[in-house]
Amino acid sequence: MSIDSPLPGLHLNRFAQRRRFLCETSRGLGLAALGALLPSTAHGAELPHFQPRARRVILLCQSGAPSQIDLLDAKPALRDRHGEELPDSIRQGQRLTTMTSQQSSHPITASPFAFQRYGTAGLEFSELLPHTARVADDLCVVRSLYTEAINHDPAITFLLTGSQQPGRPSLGSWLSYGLGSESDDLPTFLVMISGGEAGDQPLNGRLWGPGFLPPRHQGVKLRSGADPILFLNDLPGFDRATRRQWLDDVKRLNRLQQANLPPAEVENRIDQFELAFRMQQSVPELTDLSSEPQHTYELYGDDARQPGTFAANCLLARRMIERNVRFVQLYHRGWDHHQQINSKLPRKCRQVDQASAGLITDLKQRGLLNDTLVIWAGEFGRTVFCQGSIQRDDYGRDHHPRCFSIWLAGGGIRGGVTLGKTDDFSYNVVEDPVHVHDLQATILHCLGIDHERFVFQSQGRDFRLTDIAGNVVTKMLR
Amino acid sequence: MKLVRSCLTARLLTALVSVSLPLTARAAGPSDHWAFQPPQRSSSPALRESAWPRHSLDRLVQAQREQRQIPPAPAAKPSSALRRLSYAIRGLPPDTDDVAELLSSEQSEALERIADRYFASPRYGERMAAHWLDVARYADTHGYHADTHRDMWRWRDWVIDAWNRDLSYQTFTVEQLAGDLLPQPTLDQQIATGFNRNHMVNFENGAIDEEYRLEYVADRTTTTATVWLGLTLQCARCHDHKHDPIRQREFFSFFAYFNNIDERGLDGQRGNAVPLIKAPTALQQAKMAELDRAIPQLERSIAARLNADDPRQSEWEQQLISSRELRTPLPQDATLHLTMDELHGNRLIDRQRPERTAQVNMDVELAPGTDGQALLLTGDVGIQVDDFPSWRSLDPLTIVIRFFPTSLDDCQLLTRIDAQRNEQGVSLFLRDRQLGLRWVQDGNVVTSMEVAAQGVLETNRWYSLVVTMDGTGTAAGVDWYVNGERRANEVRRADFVGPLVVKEPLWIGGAPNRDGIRGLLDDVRIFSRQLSADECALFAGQDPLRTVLTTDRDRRTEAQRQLVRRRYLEWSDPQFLSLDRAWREAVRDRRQLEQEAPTTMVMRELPAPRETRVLRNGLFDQPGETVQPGLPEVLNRRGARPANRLELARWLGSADNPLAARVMVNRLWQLHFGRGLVTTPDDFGTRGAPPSHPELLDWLAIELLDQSRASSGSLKRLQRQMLLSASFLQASDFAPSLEYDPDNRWLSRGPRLRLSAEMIRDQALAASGLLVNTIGGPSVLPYQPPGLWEEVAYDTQSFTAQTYHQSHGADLARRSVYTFWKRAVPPVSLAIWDAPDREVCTVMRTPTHTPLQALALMNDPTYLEAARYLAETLLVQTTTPASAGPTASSAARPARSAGPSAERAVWESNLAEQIIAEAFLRILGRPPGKPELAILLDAGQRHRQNFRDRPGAARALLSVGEAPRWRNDRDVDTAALAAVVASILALDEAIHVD
Repeated sequence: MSIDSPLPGLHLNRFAQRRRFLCETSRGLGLAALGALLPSTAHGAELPHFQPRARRVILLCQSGAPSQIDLLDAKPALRDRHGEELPDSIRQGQRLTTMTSQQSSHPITASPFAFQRYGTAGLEFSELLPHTARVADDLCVVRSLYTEAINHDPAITFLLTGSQQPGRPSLGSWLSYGLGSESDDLPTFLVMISGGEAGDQPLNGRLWGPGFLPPRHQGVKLRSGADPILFLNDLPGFDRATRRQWLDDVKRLNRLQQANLPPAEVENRIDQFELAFRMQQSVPELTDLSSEPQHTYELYGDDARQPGTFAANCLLARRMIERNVRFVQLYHRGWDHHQQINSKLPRKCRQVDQASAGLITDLKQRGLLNDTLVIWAGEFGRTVFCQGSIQRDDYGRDHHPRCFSIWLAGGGIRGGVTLGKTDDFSYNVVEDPVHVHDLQATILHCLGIDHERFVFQSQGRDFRLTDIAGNVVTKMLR
Repeated sequence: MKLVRSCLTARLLTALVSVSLPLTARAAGPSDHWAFQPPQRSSSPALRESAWPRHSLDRLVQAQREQRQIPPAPAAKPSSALRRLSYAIRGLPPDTDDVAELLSSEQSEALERIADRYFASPRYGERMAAHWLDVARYADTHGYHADTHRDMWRWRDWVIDAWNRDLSYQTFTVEQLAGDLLPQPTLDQQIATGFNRNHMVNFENGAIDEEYRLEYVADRTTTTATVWLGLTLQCARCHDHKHDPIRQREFFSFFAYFNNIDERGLDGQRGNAVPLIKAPTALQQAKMAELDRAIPQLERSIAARLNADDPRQSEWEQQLISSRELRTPLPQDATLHLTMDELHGNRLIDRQRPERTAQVNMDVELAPGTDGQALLLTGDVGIQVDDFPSWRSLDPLTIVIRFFPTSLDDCQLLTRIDAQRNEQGVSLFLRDRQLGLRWVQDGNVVTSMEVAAQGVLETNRWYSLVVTMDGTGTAAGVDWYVNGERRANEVRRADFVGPLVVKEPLWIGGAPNRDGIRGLLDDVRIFSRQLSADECALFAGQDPLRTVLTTDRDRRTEAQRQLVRRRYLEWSDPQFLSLDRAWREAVRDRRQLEQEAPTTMVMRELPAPRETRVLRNGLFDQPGETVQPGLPEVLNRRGARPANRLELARWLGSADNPLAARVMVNRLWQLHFGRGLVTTPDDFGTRGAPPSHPELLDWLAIELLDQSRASSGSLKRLQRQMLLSASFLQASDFAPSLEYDPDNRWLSRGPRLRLSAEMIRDQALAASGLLVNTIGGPSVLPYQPPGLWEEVAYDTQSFTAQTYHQSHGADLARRSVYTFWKRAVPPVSLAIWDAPDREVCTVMRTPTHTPLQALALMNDPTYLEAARYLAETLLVQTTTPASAGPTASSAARPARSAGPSAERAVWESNLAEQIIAEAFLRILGRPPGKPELAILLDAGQRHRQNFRDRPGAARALLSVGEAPRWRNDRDVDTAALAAVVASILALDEAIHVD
């Protein structure tokens, strides 16, 4: 059944086998010789391609698309044109969604939120992001990102897999596949989800799915609640000692069968059980925040005490990074503000601002920021014009793919930088455009990967995360 | 779209490549590529070793091995061979009887006998369908964005049935791709076309219709090319194919065959997307056919009685006319009759059933009505009727209300709704001075039927309102009579589907948070039948029957004659009454079947073909030149010109297509041997892997399509040849071959395969005895950790398949092929074992080893429940041979043990050994070896000791899963044995066939 491996069910090429041998001798039999943890370089080139600046990644994915005009792309001059029709010279007949394309009027809507400059480099932040503003000198704010999709499903799929249509591996799966694991007892690629009220944009397993890569590169969801990883907790009737005995019985029986099988095959299965057993220990340790001191919560905010919040997940992300998890993906839902930005956006910002900044500060204090790349991004931006008509205290913004703002920090990224410029309406990029594929190329670059050489053959052709495009944005790099 | 940039760059690259490397692929003459040539029958090779092959295909395997001096492996152990066959054919472990049969008879004959039995079993169709559903990207949700539900299980059941019927490969192809275009297609042939409707469907707000519609067409094009051509046609969507001789224009010519569907780009918000058909199940069809025979018979019998002549009728008529009763009495069979004459405190008595009362929600005053007293209603008065029987939309219903409005503001007359569920239910109301009636059904989406009676009311006059419903749930089935005068219907909305059962409290006048009528309210009657027009008129003081009776017989119209005749028969002929009732019920049942029948998405051609244009860069908004449907030239040696999808399907499944049979046999070979003869099953193009055994591949392809045989196209026969071959039945643990043939390319040993996701779960269910073998039906939702759907859900109120409603009872133990497949969150119990998400066509699963799988074997309740059930079954059966089945409720623990005679010490005797050995045999298909049994017994003793010290733990373990317990009070022994059985289910051997 296993097609691409010399040993059915086990995907080790020569390089991986050698790695496995080293693991066995250096760390004891079985340890780290584990499918989900093994570096696998089936594409033939040993990774990294060059010295990486980052070894781990945290992606703070803001699902629904935060409004760049109200948060990171200051356009104070729009106040004077508030309510005026967006000039055709700006829109240039570009595609709108069918939610606003039928509107007879597209009135400019200035942000009611005040912007200020922060840090030595004077980066501009909205008053809704006071904590993020405080770590300005660590951040590279990109105002010139643009995408090709105008609806949520294709856009977030594009951001995470490099393609609008389903079927491609997610960024984390690519990294798991290319770089393998650095942890002995935690998965390579962990996913957490927060937010999620009725009407928030849905998510989809393909955003952490392996596409055509071997399925073990799929992201593992870490969930708040009793069973943080599926089936982690022993069922009633089993205590640790019973489970240990039970596993030993299974191991003894499996070993009886291995005489005529490839030696690694049964051992590998045994190893999976051993890793599972260790995860039963390591995951609760990871999620047990009782040892976190008071000042942790001062950093991340009191929300972090509440499991399942974005803040708690940020704190968990730091704990994962400490434990050498390669790729941590947080989804925070609920940024799709077609209406009532003035009330909904501040609330959303309160949920993420302090914790995002706290995470940067915390990583920095622990010396982890240097080789951890942190990215804060949604799937597209929002329109300068109002969806519907402007009310005194109410306005909404539709989807806008032509420009949006994100920030990056840590491993390999230049701090205190604003990259790119949009026109006076935060509509079109006028300087240093960064395409989603460029962002993906740059992320891979930080990890020591040449995105053009990092390929996987499927359906008769080589596939890349960046499809057949993408340029590393050197201006973002240290 | 991504394609803009990527493809621009690609064109640039193409240009560069063609400048700098003009001689690479193109000059090599890709049209000479092996896969584009027709399969060749080779002569039987001369072999040195001629005793080994069992079958012609073995000779072709052996020839390759001899060239490489590879010796054959010995035959597999009988138990291995049987387990292999059982999984290959049925996807289930062998029955213990089969093991016994095999061990007690000549092996090779027994294997053939058992294999034939397995092929004849309906389990075969389920096993093969599980594979085909991956290929067909089947799922129970739409996939994009909100990922709501769809109903394609009728198509899934067609697939199971097709494999079980052993539909020929040609027919299997034609019906799935173009069954709708066959002459007078049967329902099944139309259902089959769901194959190319299984693609994802989108309705995200703001998206553009045409963009997605073209995406669906592209999916069909690509999937069909992958499945029937093994070609990466999708590579030619944006530009000419880089490696294979396929031009972009040819991609769109192929695309044109699939571009004429009467579909929408944004659809699926309410379940299935158009085009769809009603697809009653076989059982429903049988019942419909029976009713379709019965109804006309009943109608004939009724008509015969209506048209007969009966001398006693005139006598009866005379009697009626001359009777002192001047008026025809009002119908007496109401289910409710409130007269308002008897108000006790705030209670009204139901005249029809005095034990039932109705509660007025406040103090009210009485005033003279038309007949006795009436209630004086201010807008906030409501009358709640106690325990009123539920209404079904399929049953007829008549409501009669007499009232005197003093205001015509919008208000309720009668209400039976659930405000929490989008007002599901029935309401009768006044809106804009018109009478209205509404049926609302809250489901996937809210649907309703709303009609208004033509004409407006006036204040300060008495109205006698009668509204009748015929039980169709349609606007046309509603009739209004206002003061005896029939009023036409104005239809406001008519997408009510039904059936619906309304159980909410019945309110007359106002209802909670709803204003009621102002004025006087007199009699209210409700009938659970549709009153006839003459009966309705009675409430307005008219008497059509009497009018007729006083009309001279010769001057009566036909309708009048029938009315009198009918009333006479009702009075005189009990048989007529029962015939009439039978007819009404039959019509209602027929309607219910019609409403309950599932729908399924199908292919349906537009009357005039849609123009297909090449899309520049593959983009929906960049149409270029117009193209006609056609085949890629390189495959079309005979110059076939299929004019439409049907002709295309016929060509694809024919020997004229050099690829279809090769691609199919290769997939089956891969399924059974774990490695395709071509290891790139989705790419037979120039970049794909060359076949390891070209002669064998062609031999199999020719076998499949050999028209000279009656069994041409039989996939059962083809697989029988594969699976009873010496190549398949070799030992898999032939260690020396690991050296010279590490990936078993030359078939130096038998296949050792990881069980598929479905098989791993089904094995536990089957071996434990829990498996429920019902075939087909809507998908089921077995155990799944809570919250997995909800955490990625959209709006759980407005969209379906956002909340996981776990199944119970038998549906927890159905085969995994029936598990509900949500694309955004594929079923966990299968996804952990490498099942794909089914967003796109998948022709190969890649098995992996992960700690998450280990955790699932340890803690997915499916496995512990199966272990518990098997252990307890064996324990009870061993100790009390004549024991009854498990108790119905797991909560009801019997106080007594199975009986004193059964009090045999389990562990001191050899009972535990017997039980463990039997469980081992059921799961692994072989008896345990001595060392294995020793380990398991030892483990059992330790678990027993452990549970004796912690009886609470034993009970806790036994409480896992909803399957009922047996009558058995040996918790400690049962739990210990269950823990042992769970470890057998977790063995490496248990999740493999070797």
